Amino acid sequence: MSDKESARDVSEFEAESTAHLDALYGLALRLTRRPTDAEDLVQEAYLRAFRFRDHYTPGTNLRAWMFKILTNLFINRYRRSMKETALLDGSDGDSIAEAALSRQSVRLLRDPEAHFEAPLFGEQVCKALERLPADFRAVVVLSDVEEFSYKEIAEIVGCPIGTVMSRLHRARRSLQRQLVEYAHEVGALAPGEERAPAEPTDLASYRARRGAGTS
Amino acid sequence: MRCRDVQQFASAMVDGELDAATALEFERHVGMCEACRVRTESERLIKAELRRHLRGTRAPESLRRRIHDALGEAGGGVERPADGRAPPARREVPVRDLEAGMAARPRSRFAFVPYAVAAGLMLFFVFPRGWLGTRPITGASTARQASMGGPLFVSDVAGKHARSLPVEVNGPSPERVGHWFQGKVDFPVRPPVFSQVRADLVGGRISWVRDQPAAHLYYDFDGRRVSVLIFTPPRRRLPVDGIPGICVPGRTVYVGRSRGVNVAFVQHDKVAYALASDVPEQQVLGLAAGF
Repeated sequence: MSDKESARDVSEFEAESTAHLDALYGLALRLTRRPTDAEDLVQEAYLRAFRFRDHYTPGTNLRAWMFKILTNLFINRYRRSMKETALLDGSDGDSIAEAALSRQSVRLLRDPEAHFEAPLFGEQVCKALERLPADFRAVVVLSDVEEFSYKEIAEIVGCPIGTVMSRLHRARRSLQRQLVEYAHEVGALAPGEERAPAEPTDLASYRARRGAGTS
Repeated sequence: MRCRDVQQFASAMVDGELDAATALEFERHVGMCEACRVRTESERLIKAELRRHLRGTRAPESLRRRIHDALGEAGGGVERPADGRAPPARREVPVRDLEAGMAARPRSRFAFVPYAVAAGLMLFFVFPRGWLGTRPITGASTARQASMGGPLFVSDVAGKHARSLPVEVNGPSPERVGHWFQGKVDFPVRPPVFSQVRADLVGGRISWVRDQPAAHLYYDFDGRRVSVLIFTPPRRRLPVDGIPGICVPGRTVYVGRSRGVNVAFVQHDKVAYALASDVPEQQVLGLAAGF
């Protein structure tokens, strides 16, 4: 390959792929939790993508392909050397009486004029996310921030769709619990909102409905 | 639909991943159940908050420049092969700051073994579609599938491992051993290089798994023998019906046991890898997860 062709090759690849740089850096930052590691991870992902660009079929989803490279690189190289202080509730779905954030609470939490001395809500959201294990952080970012479909996420992280769903489910439960706790601490939960009604109420109404033949 | 179902489906609902019929049932339930309505709303709010706060992350300008420089360097140095295959694996171009940033922490051997990098990279480009995403994590089996099912393969692999036959090509070079199989079997043989533990490639020989030609590799893992049988699975699907699957980063490992030998199956591309050893299941799983 001549120097000229090679230069064109680089600039074509760069032009197409750097459109996703911010998003890739965003995921890298959530995964590594350190800006310097995130930068290294993104740079390496770009080098790999460039080196193996022949494996990419033009016209297919370049964004998903780049995310897959970055995620795999993180799993294979970085994660083993990272100390995880992850938090995830062990039980999954036993208790249905679950705390929940209401629209009103979120409004209160977001309100910059709120009277309570509290760090910004956005920071709390990020902190809650960072307390999850890396596999769970990855699916949350890919779904909520990047809006990939479950099928795409399954391909990016290399797991069955069922695993993606269960990780998302558990991750969100944990996020919810953390944020409700925070809202409770800073007094942003409206009275009577601490707990959503427990299951028996629902079961009764469900039975009543079933009895009435509406479901 | 019950409250418990709603709770399970709430994530899929807010992500727009429920099929129309289930979504309708979901909506019907939520319309009548205050608790589920509140929970679903909360889930939706948290999703929106995450998006709101994380969406605007911008990469620093210095990173953009670093990538530009690194690509320029790589573009000058890496030849693109005419046949479109991956260029040969080589030592990574040193990444600025990486050495300093990671130096304080223990490193995996992975980073130093170019061949391991190549093996790891295989994962990036491989979508075993028939297997990934559609397959339940624990192999459900129909009567027809069970007749060709996993346990037969487990006992066959365990049997192959138990017989200590002489090698036809000697290790420890994975490249050399892989090369030896060229023309002898009709699939690429890339001997695994384990990233987490020390397992030395002793050698390999031609073998069979059921009626499929296979490359049988032997490793020395802390004085214990480990077999790796590489073969093309029938109908290009891992023969794991009836064997539990365990999801590890980047892949699913299926683990079975026969005659005191633990056998783990993983798949890369269209090629199946069966690892067998009499070390504890956890270690076999670790080996299967770590190459």
